[in-house]
Amino acid sequence: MYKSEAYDKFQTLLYRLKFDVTAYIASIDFAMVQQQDQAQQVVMANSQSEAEYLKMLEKVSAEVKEIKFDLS
Amino acid sequence: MEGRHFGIRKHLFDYDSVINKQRQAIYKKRDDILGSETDEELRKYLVEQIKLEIEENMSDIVRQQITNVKTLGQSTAQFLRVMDKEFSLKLEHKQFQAFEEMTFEQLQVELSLFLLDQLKAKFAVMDVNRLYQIFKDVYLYHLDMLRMKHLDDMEYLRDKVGLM
Repeated sequence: MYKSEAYDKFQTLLYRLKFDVTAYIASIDFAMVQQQDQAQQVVMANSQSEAEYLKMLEKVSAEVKEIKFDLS
Repeated sequence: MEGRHFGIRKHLFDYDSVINKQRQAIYKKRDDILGSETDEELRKYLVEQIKLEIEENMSDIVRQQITNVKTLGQSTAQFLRVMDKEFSLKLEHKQFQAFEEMTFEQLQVELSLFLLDQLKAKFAVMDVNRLYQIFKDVYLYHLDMLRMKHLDDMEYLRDKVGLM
């Protein structure tokens, strides 16, 4: 008895999987996902260039020598 | 008494075999997806397979939904609202009216085609690697959620038939 019931339950799982995956993918707005991906890429590129700018600033700052003023 | 215990052990063994076979079937699905992560050719193949599967599923699902709606005695408009909610149809007013006037048999064909066109247009804007990522995430998420529920159901079934 439980074998046929287990089989039915497994068939239900497979049908739900088919249905849920198809329904979910059909409801995704792929154009919106692509826009979000592009926006993320821009943010990443900006943060990378900011990091490079900071590194350059650090390098330049390290090269700056202390100037001593002779006020006497 | 011994005979009764033997019977319980035998049924329990059979139950474990059933659970094991189901687990193997689920794990094969998972392995197919996860195993293709590092191989570009396999990723492309998997994406094509899932695309085909989804396209084939669409008409089955529409047919099944129509059967449910007919059983409940609902109208085509009610059916379209359900489908809109489930599949984000985003039907324009004219299109909705055109579908509403159809019979369920006509709707089954026309709505399946409409959904297929919508899906193909959606897939066309994405590159294969991103599609793979989306398919993988969606598939694994649903597979895991349904498997957890299935295990609960099976545990309930086991208790109900008095195997433990």
